[in-house]
Amino acid sequence: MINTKKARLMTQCAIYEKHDGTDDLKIAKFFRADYIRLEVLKTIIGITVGYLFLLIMIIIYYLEFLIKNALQLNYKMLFMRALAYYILLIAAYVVFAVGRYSYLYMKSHKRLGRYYRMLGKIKKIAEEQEYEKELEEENWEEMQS
Amino acid sequence: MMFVFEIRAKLTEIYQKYDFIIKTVLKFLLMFFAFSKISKVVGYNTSLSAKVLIIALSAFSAFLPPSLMVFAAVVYVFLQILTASVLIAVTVMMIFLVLYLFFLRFTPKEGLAVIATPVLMSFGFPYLVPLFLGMFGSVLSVVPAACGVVAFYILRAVRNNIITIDEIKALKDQALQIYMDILDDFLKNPQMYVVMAVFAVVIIVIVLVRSLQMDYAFEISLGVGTGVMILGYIIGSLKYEMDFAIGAMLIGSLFSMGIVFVCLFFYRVLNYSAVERVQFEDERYYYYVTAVPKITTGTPKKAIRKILAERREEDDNAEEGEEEAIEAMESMLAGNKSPYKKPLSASLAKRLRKDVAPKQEDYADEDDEDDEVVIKGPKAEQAGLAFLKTGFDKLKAFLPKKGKPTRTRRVTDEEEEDDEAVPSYFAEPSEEPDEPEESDKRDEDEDYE
Repeated sequence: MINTKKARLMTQCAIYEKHDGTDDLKIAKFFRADYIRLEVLKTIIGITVGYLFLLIMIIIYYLEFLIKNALQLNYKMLFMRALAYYILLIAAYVVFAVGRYSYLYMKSHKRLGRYYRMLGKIKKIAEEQEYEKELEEENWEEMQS
Repeated sequence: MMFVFEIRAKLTEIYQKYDFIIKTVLKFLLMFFAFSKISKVVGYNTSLSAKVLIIALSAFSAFLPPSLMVFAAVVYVFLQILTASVLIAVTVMMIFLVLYLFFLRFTPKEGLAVIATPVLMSFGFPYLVPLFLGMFGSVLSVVPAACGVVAFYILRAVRNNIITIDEIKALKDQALQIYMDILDDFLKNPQMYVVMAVFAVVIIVIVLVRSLQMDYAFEISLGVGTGVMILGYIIGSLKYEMDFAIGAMLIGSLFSMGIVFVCLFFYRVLNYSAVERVQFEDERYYYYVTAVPKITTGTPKKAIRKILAERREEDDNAEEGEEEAIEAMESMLAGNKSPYKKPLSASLAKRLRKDVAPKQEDYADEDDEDDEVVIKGPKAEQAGLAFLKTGFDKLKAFLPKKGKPTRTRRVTDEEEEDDEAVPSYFAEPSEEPDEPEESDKRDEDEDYE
């Protein structure tokens, strides 16, 4: 006999696992600080790569000028300026990433809390079913004897 | 109006039934238009521009998640331009990568907007994008919309500078110059910035207005957003040269508003009506469940208004109290374990007592009908005076005999009634039903969440 309450709970759990659950369960492997650190690290790598692409495009755009004035250019100043823009960009994105991923972690934590509560209920129902089954078996054995 | 509701109900039913198919077909159509437009704009490779291949690619992409759909479109663009120029193809790819790394990776679920924006813009109908994203997205929807605009203008810049493959092959030595021309055409195009700014402002305005707590917030925000968009385009066209006619823009904006309004009409139903198909198992069974969300189509409620000649304020209060009392009783009957979580208001308590009290009085009246004494005429005055006298004597007995005279406050009828013994199950919070079990309590908490 199917326990409808249990089936309902399991369905809700399965729907959650299908949608937000996959991401949430991945996030749940980390502590909050670790998760934010990891995401900030990913953001820094992504921004660094993107910034390199931008630099390459800018260099190609001014290539003719750069070749013509190769000897007169102040490379130290150019490098310092590029570095300053990079640091500013990274700082802005780190602040944004910390805020965003803290919020996402909190949200996923809430959803997971609800999911685990549902799992707890399913477990309780399963235990009750198991107990009933054992009782039935005992009664059957008594009747047999 | 009922006819429209019926159509909505029917469409909802169809959507529920064929949810997956409809979504896939829509995705297929979007990708088909995207690939067709790309091949029209930068179709340098004839074999890649073949209709059969476009249909096959669209069909394949329709089954991909939104982020991979964007990736498929970008790869298609890259391969098309690669036939003409490696440098330009790599540059375009790098621009898309920069867009992804800087912006799009923070909004992975809105990839479809990145494809839909250039497609609609190429059809000369970009007005739908900000209105739609504003109504159904968030403030972060500005990012995919802006990226879509960038994608449209970069492809246009490429087309403007590389017309045919023969031409590009003839100018093989001037690849760097073409690269610079494309970037100039792309970056020094004020139209792109105007469109991006208008899209961003419209989306933010719509999101802000629709989040206000007022009636018809969605509809008002749609109207406000359309107005801001028209204004933005007019200001932009006055300051910079824009390639659109104001009349067409006005008609397009209003038509887009109509489309979004229709979408809004269906949104509240369709948003939650996707059928879920899940599989799981326990120690006894395998479950293949199809969960169909309940749709509560609001049947129009017939409101009966009573028009009375005179209406006293007391009656109004009594009616309000009556409604509250009915609600409380209904919630109690429905098995709500704590219908009295809120403290009872004075009017509600009064009303509840009245509900119980008159019946008892009626019975009492029936029993004591013979004992009723009616005093009329001058004797009534005497009887009244005698009653007052006895009352006064009783009051005197309670007063302190020595010291300063104490002030007596006049007790109104209402206060007297309030001081009456309130039925214990209404008044005392300690008399509430037994505490529910821990698990039940959690159930309730979840429901409230």
